[in-house]
Amino acid sequence: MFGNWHQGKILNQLASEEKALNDSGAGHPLNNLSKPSKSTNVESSTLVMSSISVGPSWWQMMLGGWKNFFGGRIESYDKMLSYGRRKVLHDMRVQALQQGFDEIINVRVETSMVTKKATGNDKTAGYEFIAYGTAIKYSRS
Amino acid sequence: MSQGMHLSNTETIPGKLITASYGLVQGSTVRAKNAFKDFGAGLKNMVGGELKAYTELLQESRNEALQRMMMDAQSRGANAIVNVRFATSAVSGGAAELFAYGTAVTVQ
Repeated sequence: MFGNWHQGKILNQLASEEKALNDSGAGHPLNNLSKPSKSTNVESSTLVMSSISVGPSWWQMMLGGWKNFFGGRIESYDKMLSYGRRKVLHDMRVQALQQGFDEIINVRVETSMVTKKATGNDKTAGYEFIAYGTAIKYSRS
Repeated sequence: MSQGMHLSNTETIPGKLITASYGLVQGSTVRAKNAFKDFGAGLKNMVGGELKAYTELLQESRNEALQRMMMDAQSRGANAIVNVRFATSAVSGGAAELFAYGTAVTVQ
């Protein structure tokens, strides 16, 4: 349906942004270690975060509702949720690169439902993804 | 965002030494979504994808929760908060609670 097309478009857009970033030789500054990976002196550190909320389309909600009855993988949800998660991590990486941080350690990704029901009568369904971590700048000297 | 206060979600502030600890500090806020924005998000929900109204609302609220947590820490005389964690819960259909907590410490 139309929703699927729209979501396919934003997914492709994200994929091409990620690819452009990789091709430009940018590093991968995110990790979930609890300590800085280098023993160099740390110049500054700060908490950074990025978040997004996404929702499936009505059509997908309906399909999801059916699938709930029979069980099995819900592909339409798959797409939206993986989009949200990839997007927050991508945004965070961009943020780190732009602000000149060397790495972001202890990255956590959390998911939460911001509306009551995922499927059913509620006309809006939203999921929120938040990624946060400690951004670090090493001293250059 | 942080007025001279160090925030980190690791157990120490990288490159700094913790000299005192003041225990758990927290900040929370409950936000209801605006009826108009909700309507807009509902329309957006027809096709799915990013719900910008919610994204902004939750970011705003989370910053508020962070501010409250920092005020709590400041009132105890701390200058940093380590091991910051976020939690979100939907308290009822139209409202979300955003919650931030961490350990207030003094670093050198």
